[in-house]
Amino acid sequence: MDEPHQKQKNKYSIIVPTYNERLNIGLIVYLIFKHLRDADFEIIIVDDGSPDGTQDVVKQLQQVYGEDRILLRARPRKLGLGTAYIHGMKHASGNFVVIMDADLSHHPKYLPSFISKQLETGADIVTGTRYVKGGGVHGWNLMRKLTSRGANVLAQTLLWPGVSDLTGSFRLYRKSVLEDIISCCVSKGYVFQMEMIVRASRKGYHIEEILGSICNCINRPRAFGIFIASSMPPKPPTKDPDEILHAIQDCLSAIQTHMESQDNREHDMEAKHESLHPILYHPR
Amino acid sequence: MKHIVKILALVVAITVLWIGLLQTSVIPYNHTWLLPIYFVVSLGCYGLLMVGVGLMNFPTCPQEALLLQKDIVEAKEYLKQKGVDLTLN
Repeated sequence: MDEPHQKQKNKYSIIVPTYNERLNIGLIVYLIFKHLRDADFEIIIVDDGSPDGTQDVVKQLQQVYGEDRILLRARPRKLGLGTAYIHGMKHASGNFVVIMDADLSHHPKYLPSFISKQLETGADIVTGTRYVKGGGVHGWNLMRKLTSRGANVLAQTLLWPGVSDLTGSFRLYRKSVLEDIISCCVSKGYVFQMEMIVRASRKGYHIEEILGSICNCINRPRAFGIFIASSMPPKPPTKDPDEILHAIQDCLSAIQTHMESQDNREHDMEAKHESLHPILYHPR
Repeated sequence: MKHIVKILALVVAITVLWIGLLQTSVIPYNHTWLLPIYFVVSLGCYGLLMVGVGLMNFPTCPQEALLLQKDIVEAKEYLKQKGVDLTLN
């Protein structure tokens, strides 16, 4: 199996859940097309009925790039991030799924490294890490760093997942693997991403990390409020004085649920994901 | 369920070791009695130390912010040419 042939065969479905991302969705689509020239891919935008006309922008983008490359799969109202992935996955025709945030915290220029890492190693999941040398964040305050670190240390100590960054969400999955793990995730909020990766590592899937690349560089657009969203009303600040407390509570509940429900896979998927907290849409 | 078994096994092993020490009284009884407290305290210290070290070495990348800014300008230019209206009307 030579590599060009392999590359020809693979198709990547990039799922981008959006809510009020009118400006960012245009930017991210442009950047994806700029950086992913030689791969076969489609962008699936799952919009939860944004009032700011995100869907109109997506329709205009479809005119520019083609309706077969950009798929708009809207839902009538905010239904949560977990279900957004499931919804997007139903329409995905690729054999790999990339999940990324629309707020430009995940820069599309890393997509080629995800893909080549997957091709090199044959991994089931490729995840971006902020904690390895070369990775990094920008525009985070101390509280957010503390939360991120605290949750990661707590989970590393108790769960031994063998992945250095548990809460990062810029990942490439083999489609069948994502379907498998998403169907048994029960947690919500901050820990959803964490649970997915821990479950994947427990199930023995091959996980690779991207080293030396900066993945979750800018996590919150409001760090760049001045020039990203100058024409948009500012989003409510995310800073919550109890953020760390919530993160640790979430973390503990994830550990608890993880231990209790390892074999609990027969649950009705829809019912579980109804309760998923919309991580992406959090105006906390 | 495998992981909880691993953790429980570890806890049981440590407890057995402790009870063994209590029984054989190799170390003075008073000291052995306090060992679990030392253990918990040192576990806490380890956690705090890891968080502290992690915070100190938290990688940042201000140069990426500038690159992104350039990308955004470029993307806006291009989309404007193509007639995509990104501004909120």
